[in-house]
Amino acid sequence: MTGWLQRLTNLLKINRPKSVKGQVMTLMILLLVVMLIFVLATFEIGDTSLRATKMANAADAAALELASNLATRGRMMADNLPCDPPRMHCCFKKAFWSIILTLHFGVPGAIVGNYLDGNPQSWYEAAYMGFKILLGALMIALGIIMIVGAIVAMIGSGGSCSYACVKAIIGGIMLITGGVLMMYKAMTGFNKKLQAGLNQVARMFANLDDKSRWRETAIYSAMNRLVTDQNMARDLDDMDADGDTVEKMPDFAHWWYKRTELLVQDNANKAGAATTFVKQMSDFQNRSSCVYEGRAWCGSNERELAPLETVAGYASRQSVPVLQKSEFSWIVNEAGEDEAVSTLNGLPIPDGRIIRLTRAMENAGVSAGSYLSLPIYQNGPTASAMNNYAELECCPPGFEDSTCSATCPTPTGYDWMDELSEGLREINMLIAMLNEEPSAAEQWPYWIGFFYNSADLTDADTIYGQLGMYLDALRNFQTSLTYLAAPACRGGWYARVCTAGVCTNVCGDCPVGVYRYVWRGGRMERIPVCGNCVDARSPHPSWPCRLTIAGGFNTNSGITLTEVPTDVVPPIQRSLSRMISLITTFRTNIARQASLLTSDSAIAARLASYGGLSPTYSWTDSRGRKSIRVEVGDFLSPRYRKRKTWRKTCIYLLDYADDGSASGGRCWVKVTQVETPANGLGILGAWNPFRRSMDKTSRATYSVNRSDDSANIVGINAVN
Amino acid sequence: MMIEKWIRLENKGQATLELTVSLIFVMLFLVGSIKIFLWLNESMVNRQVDYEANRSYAASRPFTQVDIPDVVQTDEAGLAIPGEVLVDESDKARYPDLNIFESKW
Repeated sequence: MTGWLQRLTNLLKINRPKSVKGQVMTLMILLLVVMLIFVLATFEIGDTSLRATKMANAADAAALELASNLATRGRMMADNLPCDPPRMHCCFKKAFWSIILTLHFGVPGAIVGNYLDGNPQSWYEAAYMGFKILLGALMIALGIIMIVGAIVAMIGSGGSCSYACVKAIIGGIMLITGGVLMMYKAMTGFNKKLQAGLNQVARMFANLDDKSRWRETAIYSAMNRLVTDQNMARDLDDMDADGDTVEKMPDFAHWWYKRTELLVQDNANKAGAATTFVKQMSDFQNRSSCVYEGRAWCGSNERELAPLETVAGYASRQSVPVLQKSEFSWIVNEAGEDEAVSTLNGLPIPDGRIIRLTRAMENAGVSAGSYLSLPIYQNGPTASAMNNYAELECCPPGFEDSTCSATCPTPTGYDWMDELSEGLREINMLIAMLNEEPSAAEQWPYWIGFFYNSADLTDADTIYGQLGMYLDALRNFQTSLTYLAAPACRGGWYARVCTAGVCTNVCGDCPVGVYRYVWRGGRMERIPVCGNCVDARSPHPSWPCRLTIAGGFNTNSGITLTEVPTDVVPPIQRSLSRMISLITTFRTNIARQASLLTSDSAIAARLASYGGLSPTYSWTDSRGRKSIRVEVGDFLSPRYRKRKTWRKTCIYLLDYADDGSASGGRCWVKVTQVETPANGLGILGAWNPFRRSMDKTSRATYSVNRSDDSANIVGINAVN
Repeated sequence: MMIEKWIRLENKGQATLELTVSLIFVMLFLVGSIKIFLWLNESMVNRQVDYEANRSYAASRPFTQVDIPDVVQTDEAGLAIPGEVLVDESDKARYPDLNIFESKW
């Protein structure tokens, strides 16, 4: 014992081996370590390469799928534009809203179906399932052998079954039962459950608006290729709708189901907001139509807007629209088309209140500038001119191209009053159609763009922007009327002239270069004495002076000088105020509801626990914690827009292409994979502790070409 | 006594001899392994780089217009199989044949 201890603790003994064998083994062990390092490094590079490939494929597939959806929709919308030769815009007058909405609602909304296939089986999952099936088959085979053997033994022993025979039969039955169960569970295992859950999600996708569906489809496409989560949990929500809430379903399916459920709820909420919006539109339509379309109830309900006019031979109409021109009026003829007519029911069409004033001003030679590139007032146009113009196939400035370059001459006499009347009529036509369409609320993404552009509130191609311009013009007109009613040459002087007991303000001849001094605001100001008799506060400064200096309107126009400041202007001011109030309220509603509908902030907040609009799916397995994050660019859906230019209304297709560039492209998908190695493997350390995050981005390009019948051009333009 | 010393010396020489011979083989094996290791990993890295570079090309062709015969798989009828755009490994400068006796370093 003492000798053994001495040998063990004596270095000399260690350095003096009994045998020289094993020298090469030492080298081989050292070499093996080096080789293992090589193998590990090669494995890491290969694994990283495969990982990068898989992620690149996932990003490319998702971006291409998104681009394909967008290009397909763009192609459908382009093909539906009723232009010959095919163009990306069409200009026409009649029934364009019905065409637009038919185009929109005619495009298939839900292109869902084979997108949501089951999770691709990973090799280890397939191997595991195959192993269980094989094991089950072996158990069944063994069970059959045992039973057959027992039966043979029983026959051999003259029909008696020993204790061992009974045990073999019972064991065989148990093995067969277990094997069948194992095979059944393997075959109806993970993938089938995942498929069942995702099928339900696919059905729910049909209830999403296009943009959400396309975004979620792209996210799913990428996730589907990268998530390998095998964890399962109780199907308490019965997502596969089989009535079984005890069975287990993949966590990934649960996650998608919950996320999609929230999206569907959000969509339903938005449909509710859209319903409210459509009702608000209807209210605006009923009230605003009174300014251009006489209705029985307008006189009483909207008295300020369209008071009863007493016109000989016109008693059948209880109110005359304030913007009604005697030259023409729009009706819907027997063919169901809009038609301008010069008489109504065989009777002449009376001027509305505002038109009576503006016509008198024109007859008196008062030129009053322009709004929206149109004269504020002019006599005309005639009904036939309006019909001819409506039928004219032409493209106004901004839409001219090689296939449509005819000019669109504005009908003689077409003024801003006509523009206002026509504009409101067009808006109300859309509103009427939306009110008649049962699914209008659900289809809000198709028409909300006609109302509002959150990126540009002054966008004249939206109703919000269009009404904004009308509002500015109406306010200017109203201000001008203020000075028309009470001309006050600021800084100048005017006389009060009374004729036959009727007094009015009159600007006198103005001495140029003569000033007077007034004490104002605590200091002395030098003010030109009348100058050229212009009141700078009036948007149309020539009105007051010209009216008064020229001696007033021609009495033949129906408005006398006496009426201008006292009788005519105040009711017109009330009508204008009413219009301004209506438009202002409607614009406020448009902004509020459109913001509610188009904003992603609400749904992003609702989806916060599911990663928001750019979700991250995380799971933990034996290899550690993994996260897959998918980000989708703020892509633009193809959409129709309307532009009213020179009284021609044109529909054009917008956002039907994406160049896929890093600077301007919005159709892209980025996938990021983060792996946190598992801890707690003891002496084995951590599983693959060198793995870190990796990301891949794919930018897709697509366009639609109507001049070529080839397929849409879809591809990847930039990747990294 | 001398014989015993000689025998002891011979045993030591045997180990040295064996070690020397084995070292030669070990070094050869090591060098060969390094060459294979470098060749394999270089090929993998180059292939990955080319694969990434091919992504735009591969994903920007309609199925019916895959027209790169050298690198595309075809079916029995000679038609291109959609989506099967492969990395071109014919460039020997980037994808050299494995030769452990040839050194470029």
